[in-house]
Amino acid sequence: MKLIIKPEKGFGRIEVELDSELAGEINRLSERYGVPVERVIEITLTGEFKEPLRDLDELEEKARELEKRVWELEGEYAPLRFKAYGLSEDNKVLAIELSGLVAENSQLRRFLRLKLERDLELRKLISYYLQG
Amino acid sequence: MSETTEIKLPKEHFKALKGQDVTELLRKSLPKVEETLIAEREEFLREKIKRLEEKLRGMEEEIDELREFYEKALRDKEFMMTERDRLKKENAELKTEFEEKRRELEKVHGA
Repeated sequence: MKLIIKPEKGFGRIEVELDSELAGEINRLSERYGVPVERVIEITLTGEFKEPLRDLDELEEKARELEKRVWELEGEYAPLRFKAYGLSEDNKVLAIELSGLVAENSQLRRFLRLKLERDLELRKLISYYLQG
Repeated sequence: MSETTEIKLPKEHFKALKGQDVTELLRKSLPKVEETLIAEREEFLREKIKRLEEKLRGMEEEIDELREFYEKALRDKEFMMTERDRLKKENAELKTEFEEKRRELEKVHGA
């Protein structure tokens, strides 16, 4: 493998031929850690090394578990939302029906000179679902 | 990997390479590079875990709210259905009573 190194600004270039063993090792690191070959070489040549905390397996496991939990919740959320929407629509239809029945009840009670019903809880619910 | 790899380095790093055996430098540094890649993967995973934890908190809150809304809607439905049946029955009785009164009034006015 031929390696050409250039400065970000300015002129000049360094060309080196890497033997197959070294190129193979660079390739292995690139594939194993999912980074471009250029990144592997860049780390080497800039000397910007880091020390791992040695908890990679633990972190991979935790990330996997959290991803699984996100999928589970996504699976739970969509059907629940669909059911809640359907239920809310049912309640809207019920509220329309009830609104008519309440009006009819008031009218009949007025004709018959009976005390009018003032079911506040029911009226609130009707109004809530009619606005929704 | 292609036969030729080209990389660009900040000027100071490029200058520092002049006169050095780049192949030897690469060979010697590879173990440290691997450690660095592990460290970067760890950093990436820590960030990912943080994002997932935040996302999960948001999702759990949303699901709790939705579940609460659904349960309330269920209770409301039960209540409204009971009220509907009660009102239907009561209105039917009141209508009968009203019809009776109307007939009585007609009789009185007719007489």
